[in-house]
Amino acid sequence: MTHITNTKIDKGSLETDESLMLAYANGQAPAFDRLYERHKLAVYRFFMRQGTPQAIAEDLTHDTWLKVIDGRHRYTVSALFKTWLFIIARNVLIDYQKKKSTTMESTALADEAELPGNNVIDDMSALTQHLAKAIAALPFEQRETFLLKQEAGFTLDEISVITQQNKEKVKSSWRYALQKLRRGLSHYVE
Amino acid sequence: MSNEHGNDMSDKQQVKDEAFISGLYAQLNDDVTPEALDQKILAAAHREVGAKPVLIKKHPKWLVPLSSAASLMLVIALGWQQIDGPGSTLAQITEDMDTPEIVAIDRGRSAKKSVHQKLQVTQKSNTVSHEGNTSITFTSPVSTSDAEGKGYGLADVEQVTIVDERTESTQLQKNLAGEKRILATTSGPITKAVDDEIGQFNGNHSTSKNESTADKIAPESPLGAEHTITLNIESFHERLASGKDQTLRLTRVTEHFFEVTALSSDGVIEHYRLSNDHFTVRVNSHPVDSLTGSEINTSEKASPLKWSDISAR
Repeated sequence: MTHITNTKIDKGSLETDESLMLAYANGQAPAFDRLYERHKLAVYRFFMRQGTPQAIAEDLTHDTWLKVIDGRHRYTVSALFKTWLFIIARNVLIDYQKKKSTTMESTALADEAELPGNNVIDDMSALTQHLAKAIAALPFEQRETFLLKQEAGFTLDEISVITQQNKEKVKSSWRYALQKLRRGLSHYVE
Repeated sequence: MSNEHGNDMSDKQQVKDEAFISGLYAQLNDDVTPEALDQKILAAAHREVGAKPVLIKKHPKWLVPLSSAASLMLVIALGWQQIDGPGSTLAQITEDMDTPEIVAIDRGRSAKKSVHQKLQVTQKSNTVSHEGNTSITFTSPVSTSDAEGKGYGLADVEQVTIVDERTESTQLQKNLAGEKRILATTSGPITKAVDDEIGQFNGNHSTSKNESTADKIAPESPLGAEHTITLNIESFHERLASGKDQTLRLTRVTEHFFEVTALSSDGVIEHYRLSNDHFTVRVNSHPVDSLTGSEINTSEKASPLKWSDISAR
């Protein structure tokens, strides 16, 4: 069982994510509003950065939150709410990829040749677009590790809980993701 | 040793990569969830726990008074349109009234389904000093058989509208079928009175043991305050049940007095004066010409009244 050691509290509010989720499970709808406001961007961007079309990202975001709503009575404070949320989000994403016959293995075959761009990047806007494409081109495990850390702010330990993977493997995924992204953008910075 | 040195270099490189990528990534975060998606998810969340969906955006404070004022303007505009229209009954009523302090229009029972579509125009009188103009309009349903079975006659008031020109306007909408009282709840700044009886509209002199309400109606009532006004129509139910009175207008003419005008379907306009002591005085009752809609025997009208005469009763 994971113990809560770092319950996050919003500035100006003493309501933790966990207490809000429990309140919502007890029928207090406004508690959900606050939870949603806190995490909606991270979830949405988690899907957007997968390289999915916006409409798909919206659908996946919607499905994720519906599962949170439906599962409100099953939620227990044995882990951070955010961890629980992203476990759901990840499962939604995997289900989607399975439906599209895009397995983790086939995604992992993506090589650096698929990384966009050896074109000259003129400005920061183009660079960020390039980065977004580079992230989307990462193998699934590296991409999810990168996004869970970079977007959602999880530690590698927490990511290993979410992805149910060995911590060392998560570390490797993180390191490889950084290296790959760095190499893809090297012509810009070197 | 060299291996350790290599790991050290690798770690440093990773730190550099992380800083570089993080810096770039921070500039990527311009994606926001579409508002439609937000609303969809929040609506589902609220629906699941049986709560009303709440919009994320707060309505500005001025929206309620603005919409109320707009509604009032619409009502007045429609009213004037009726006045100006050819062959308008209201126009003739207005022209024939010596002191048309209040003109209430109702399409009447000839158009049964339009009984809720009430138009009204308030004109300030030259003979009565107005400190403010609070009007209350009751719109009664046509069918009263159910209510009569419960001994109230027409006890179901579909809509209550209060407009206070001094303290801005608001609208009350509440019905309470089968109950003795009419509840009217507003979020507007109409009155401080809570669950008080304003009076008994029985057409005769009557008294009430209840405390004054009129003097509790105060212009300083704060915006956004919620109030409940309860009207006791128990003694008035027979008239309502008969369908005689289709429109009642209650206008505050001084701080402590109201004037009530009742336009009946059988062509009678009756005027009452209601004090804050809860007695009602029937000032006059005039038949209305069924063809022209104008009052007959207007010379008998007791206008203007001296409020001291009423309060002395």
